[in-house]
Amino acid sequence: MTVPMPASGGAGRPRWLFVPAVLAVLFLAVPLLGIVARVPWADVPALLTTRSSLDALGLSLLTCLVATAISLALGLPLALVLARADGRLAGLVRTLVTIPMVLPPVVAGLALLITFGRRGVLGAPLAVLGIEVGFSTVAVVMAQVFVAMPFLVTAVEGALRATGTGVEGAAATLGASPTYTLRRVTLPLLAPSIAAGGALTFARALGEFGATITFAGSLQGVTRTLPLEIYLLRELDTDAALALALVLIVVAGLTVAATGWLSRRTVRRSAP
Amino acid sequence: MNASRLPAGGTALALTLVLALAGCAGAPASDRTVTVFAASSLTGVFADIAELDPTLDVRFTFDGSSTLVDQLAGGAPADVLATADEATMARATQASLVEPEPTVFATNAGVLIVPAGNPAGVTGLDASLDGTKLVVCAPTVPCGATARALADAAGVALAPVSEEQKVTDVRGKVASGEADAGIVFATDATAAGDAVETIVLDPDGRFATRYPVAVVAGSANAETAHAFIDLVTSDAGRVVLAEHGFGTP
Amino acid sequence: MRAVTLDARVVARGIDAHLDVAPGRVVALVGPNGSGKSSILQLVGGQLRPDGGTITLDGTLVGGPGVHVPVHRRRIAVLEQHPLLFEHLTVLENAAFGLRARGVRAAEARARAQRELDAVGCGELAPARAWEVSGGQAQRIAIARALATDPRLVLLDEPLAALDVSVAPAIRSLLRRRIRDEGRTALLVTHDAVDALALADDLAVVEAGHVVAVGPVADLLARPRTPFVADLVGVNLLAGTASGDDALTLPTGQRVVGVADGPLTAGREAIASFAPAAVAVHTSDPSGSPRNHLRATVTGVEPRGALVRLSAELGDGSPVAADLTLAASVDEGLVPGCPVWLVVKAAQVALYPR
Repeated sequence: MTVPMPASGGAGRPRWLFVPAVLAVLFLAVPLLGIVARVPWADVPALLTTRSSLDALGLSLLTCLVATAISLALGLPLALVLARADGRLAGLVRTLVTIPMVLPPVVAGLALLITFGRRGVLGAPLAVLGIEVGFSTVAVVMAQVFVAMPFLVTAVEGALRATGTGVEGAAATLGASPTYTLRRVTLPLLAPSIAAGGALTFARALGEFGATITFAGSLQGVTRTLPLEIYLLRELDTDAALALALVLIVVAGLTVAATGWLSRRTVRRSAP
Repeated sequence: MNASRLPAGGTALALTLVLALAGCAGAPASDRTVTVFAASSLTGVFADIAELDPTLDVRFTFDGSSTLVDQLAGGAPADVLATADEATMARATQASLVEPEPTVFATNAGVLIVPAGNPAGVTGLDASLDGTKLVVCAPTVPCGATARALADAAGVALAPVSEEQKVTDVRGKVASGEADAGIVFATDATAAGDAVETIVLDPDGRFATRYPVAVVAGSANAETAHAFIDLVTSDAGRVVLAEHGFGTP
Repeated sequence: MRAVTLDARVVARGIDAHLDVAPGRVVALVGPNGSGKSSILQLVGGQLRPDGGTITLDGTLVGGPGVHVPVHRRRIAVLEQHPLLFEHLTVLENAAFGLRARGVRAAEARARAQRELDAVGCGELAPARAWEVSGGQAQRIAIARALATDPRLVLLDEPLAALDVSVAPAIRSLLRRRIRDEGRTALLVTHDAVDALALADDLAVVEAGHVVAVGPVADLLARPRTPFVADLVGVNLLAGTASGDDALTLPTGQRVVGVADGPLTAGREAIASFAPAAVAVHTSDPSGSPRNHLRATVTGVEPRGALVRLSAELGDGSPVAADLTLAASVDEGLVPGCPVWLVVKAAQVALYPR
């Protein structure tokens, strides 16, 4: 990491800015370092390989991968449509899609519950058909998709808007059908943004807690993901909770780093 | 800095600030002020008991029992600690956070609750639970331990669809009809009102949890603290406890 | 059969245009900014749908009531200011893109793409990534990519406008070779008389959404009939009424004598055009000389290299430009607002019917 120095061209920054800036870094970094310092390193392998930890880890990875895949399958088309749409309806849809991002997760869980729950608007008719999602792994994935897909949609839509329609128009004049253009031009050019958006989506799904516990419940190997396991262990076995927290921090760190690397790659490529 | 104390210390700091601000804002503090750390399940009943003696200025913090003990260990200023189980209180006693020999002032028995109308036709901890959606607390939290003990005594193996961290989450899932049955404490069933129907499982309170209360070691208001505990264990206090579904020893 | 027929209206953009293009001709669309040149190109290309009218390519209806053949089925090629290469592909893949999109087998498409790249002088860049090439190279590759598909029509929208002046001439001659010399049909939007002369056979003048004049480039540029074209070729243009074989009368009542290459019909609208360099400026009336004397007011004086471009206005507001030496402008003390006499030799004024 390089510290931006005032000398490096252009107007310098006042030196006093460094005081609040350093405070900000400390405030954000010290609690994370606190966990790292407090993790019982010698016991970590044992703590992470207990039946319940492995179940939570496996369940989290499985559900997050599925949630990311669903977000890609549904969110990517939505982003593609939204990026080329203007007008009031598109604006409304854009707002609707963003809301789950800023909603408290518990509210997201309640919303899912009163929609897909046993007595919910959609859940009740489904229950008649014998389909009940509550307390199932499907419910976990639904909660994750609900809170995480907006990240994919906004990331990809933003990238699409920034790139404009020029090359797609050029492809059309060369005889490429819209589908061929999407496959050979739009998606390859978007690949870094899609990967970055997918990573963010995965990270958000991995951290999902409130909607899951409200909507899906908590049962080992079925609905108890890593964050729920940490929450459960917090009062009982702090060491185990910390070890699992460490796993989450590491995965989140890797994801954010990958996102940054991918977006830098995009910038370099689009600026010849 | 001791990293292990960071979370508790931080909360204690925040609490101190809140309490200090509350002190500033209120009327001149009477010398019968007492700060009570109590388990969440005591929220309604303690507020009612405090009203029995208007001369007492009681300030409450309600949270999970373990969290409260962590906060005391972190230096949070309190005069009375009331927990939802004896094990947690024992932890506080061993750490000399509270004065020795706490008083058990209430019991809370496990009950089976079903949504109003009992759509799944549950009759108790028996075969009527087969194929229903049963929600209990995780075995690591008190209501889960109670549920397990009751099941063992009834000779049934529970197959819950969810093991919640909080008893209120169990109650919420039953009250909303999402689950067919749940095992909670009698007080939780009382608080749910008409939304649930209660099936008594432990009429004698054999497996009921016991609520101890103790004065915090080094309390600046020890005398008032004792006055509050006396109020809780008084006849009037026992009536209020019973209204909220608690048993009394 | 016409290669292109256009008779289309776009209400929102004020377009109501008619244009026919014969096979093998290159037509340059010129006109002021916002006159609708690019909209006409988009109507032909299919990026814009007309509100009414018809568009045909090679006799096939591609746009009209209930008919809209999408861009990718029109078998056209488009070159714009920016090459818009696909940056995730190699140069060769770019050139082969159109063929692959039409289902041509990979090997065949690559061979053709390589030939096209060779033809624009970029054969050795084939394995490079598209973002690695320079601006001029990118435009050459865009030309190769466009022509590889054997388009029945090439649409050029200011293809040289974004290029460095050191690169533009080479691309201009490349376009001339690959489009005009090879007999392709093309529509070219340009702001530059040099481009029109070098690349186009015909000129179509677009003003306010209408095609107001069409004809061979040399004819239209030699005898500008609209202020825009006069401006494009840099001559003065005065419109009036013919008042004899070799004279016209301006709306101000002043007479302009010149040389007509055909007889003018008295009473019909006619045009006088002359170069700014042919105009002399006097602050007093040099009466008695056998020349055109036009009363005017100076509106601006602006240095242009070694010369000074003086702008003046006749009594009816018609603009006239004169190129003077710096010394002359200083000696005469010419500043905006000065009343002046503009003097032009009759031999340097071209007269022709409007």
